[in-house]
Amino acid sequence: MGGGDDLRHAVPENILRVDLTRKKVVKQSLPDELARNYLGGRGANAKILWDELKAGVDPLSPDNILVFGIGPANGTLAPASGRYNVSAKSPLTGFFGDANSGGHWAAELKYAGYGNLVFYGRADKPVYLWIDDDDVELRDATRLWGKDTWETEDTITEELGDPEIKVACIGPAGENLVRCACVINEKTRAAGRTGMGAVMGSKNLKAIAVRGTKSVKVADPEGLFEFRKEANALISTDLFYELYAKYGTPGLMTIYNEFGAQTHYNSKEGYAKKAEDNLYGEVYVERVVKHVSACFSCPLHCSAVYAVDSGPYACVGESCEYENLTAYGSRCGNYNLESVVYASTLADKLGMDTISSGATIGFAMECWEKGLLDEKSTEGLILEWGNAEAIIEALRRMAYRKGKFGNLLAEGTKRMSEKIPGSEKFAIHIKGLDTPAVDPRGMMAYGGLGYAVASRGGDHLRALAALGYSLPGKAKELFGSEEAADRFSIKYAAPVVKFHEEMRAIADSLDICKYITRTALLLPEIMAKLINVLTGWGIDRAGVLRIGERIVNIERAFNVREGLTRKDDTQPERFLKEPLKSGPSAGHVVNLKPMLDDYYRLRGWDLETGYPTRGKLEELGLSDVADELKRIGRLAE
Amino acid sequence: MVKIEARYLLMFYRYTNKWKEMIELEKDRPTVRDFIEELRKRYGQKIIDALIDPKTGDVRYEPDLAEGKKAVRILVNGRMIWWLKGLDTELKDGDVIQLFG
Repeated sequence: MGGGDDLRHAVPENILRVDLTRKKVVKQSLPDELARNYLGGRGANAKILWDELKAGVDPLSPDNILVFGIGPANGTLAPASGRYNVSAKSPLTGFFGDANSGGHWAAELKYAGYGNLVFYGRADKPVYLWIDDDDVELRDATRLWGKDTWETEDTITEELGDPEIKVACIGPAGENLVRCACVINEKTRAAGRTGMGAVMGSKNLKAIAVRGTKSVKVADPEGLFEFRKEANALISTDLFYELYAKYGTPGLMTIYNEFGAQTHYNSKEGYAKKAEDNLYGEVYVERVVKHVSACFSCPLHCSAVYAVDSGPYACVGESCEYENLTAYGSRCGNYNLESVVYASTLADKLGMDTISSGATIGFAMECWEKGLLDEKSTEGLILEWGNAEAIIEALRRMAYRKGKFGNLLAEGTKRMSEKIPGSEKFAIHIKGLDTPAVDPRGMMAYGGLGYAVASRGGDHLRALAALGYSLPGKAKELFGSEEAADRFSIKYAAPVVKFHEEMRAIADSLDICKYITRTALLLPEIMAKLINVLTGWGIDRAGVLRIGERIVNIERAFNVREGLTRKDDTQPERFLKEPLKSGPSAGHVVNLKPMLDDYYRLRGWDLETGYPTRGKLEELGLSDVADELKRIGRLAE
Repeated sequence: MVKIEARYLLMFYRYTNKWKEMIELEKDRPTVRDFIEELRKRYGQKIIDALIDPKTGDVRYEPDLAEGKKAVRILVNGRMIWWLKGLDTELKDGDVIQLFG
């Protein structure tokens, strides 16, 4: 695939611009400079949003722009190259919204010949986009509206008569503009975070169905074979290989609880013995997993088809992740595995981010414990810790905005806490995005700093600083000290987070999975090799890091343009002031200030405001971005 | 005599067929090295080969690509022994030792 000649390899051929208001679809060649400067996926999405989205728009208005993106690696032999990103201004945070999902949808889009799908406006009635190679049309989705994600996919593939069609869609939560609604593809793969499903729902866009049959050319096919062999050897001997390959992400429940850095009871605790026999990866595999499964071209196969065979929580699904075990499990004081798996399946069908929906319910449970919510205000829900029935019912009410309480839950933790006086202190979110499963008090670089500065809010995947707690050898090589791999150290948190952020931006923009690049394929020289065999660009280690840094900076600029300042790069009060009470991380809080100061210095951002400096932006070839920030008075000179 | 709890997390389960057990170490001031010797007695050489790199005599902190051996970690009370005294880390009554990889 190369724009009609052989000069361009692996980079998708076209961008589709879809004006939903005018029902007009325009196909354009994907500019080479977009790929060279931002690779694709998340990076290209961020650049498109920076260029085209007006600052200050309501995220749920027709003025928001929704972008799907894939990159040079998708649809090739590159390992775990089944990811895509969907980005827009977030209805949860008001800042850069972005979510990433796996499966096979991204490869299908590549085979159809597209790199980015950009949606504008709002359709006057529900529609879905049908991409059949070069034939693209908006189709009526009236009869799909109200259906869950599984029914939606089944109906579309039946209507179009091809079971190979890949569908990304929203469920009732997206239709009802639930702020944490997500996009689901292939029934169980979620582009989970920051409410991209709500943006899709606000545009009356129910689904994107894709069938692609073209080929993808790479610059050096033999080199790619060699790369894959080397990558497989690195992945299969990596410290975390068996964790993912056999137990999937639920294996992380084992590790983080043993670290005492696991969220329990809305982050009141970081360790709970009860998790051992009920939520550990080993228990999950033994009790519900039927067989492992994998996304496109993935040697790690961390997914699994699961089933609860009988009882009130009988269900079948795929990929009940560690975050889900936390969200509807330990975060809500619920140690009934089968009920957690059921809730996770329900969230996939309703189209809701498990992390944020579970966190909002966990927050509501602490409100209940403290007497700030009662049976009257919850309209009959008994929100005691561990009440599985209440968790499941709360999820349904949230998705359908049922009743006053369902409506309150649907607004998310931040907005909910603003309406419940006295609850702000234990509202566990950053910039409006609920923090994930790992308690940052037990993981300083990974969570303490990483969550605070993540461009999409309380999130672990922007930095995913896994080296910062596990690899002393690599830490010394990269940062000059083994201490950089000490999970309690704050001294090296800034360089560790900066480096990881850049490498995660590369993975998200190629678009490959962060679980193979997490530690096994972490290094920039490995990514340079992959980019070169795919594209033939001849990029080096420094060039890779520069692209990563450029992506981080354009997202920063986006957020600054929307009003972000240093005060937003923070942690919930609980993590800053309340030491963990028990377990192997007892006594720790997040000592943020020194880490944040170091981080701003390294990033070349202003210490007082957190604004990017002209020098840094120009160094990255972003003079136009500097000019725009200068124009609105948000550039540090 | 020191009584500790051993946890065989994730891949280590396959060497032990259990994921935790209490172990009594006979010395008054045993170390992780003594615990590993106890593992050899109970489960044979295979678990030791997975844990210890014969080239360094230390934990397999780095993978061995030529041999196809994975990197692994040993923790005492949730702390990687790298940050303690490595294999010479002393164990006391009630300590939890975790093997993971």
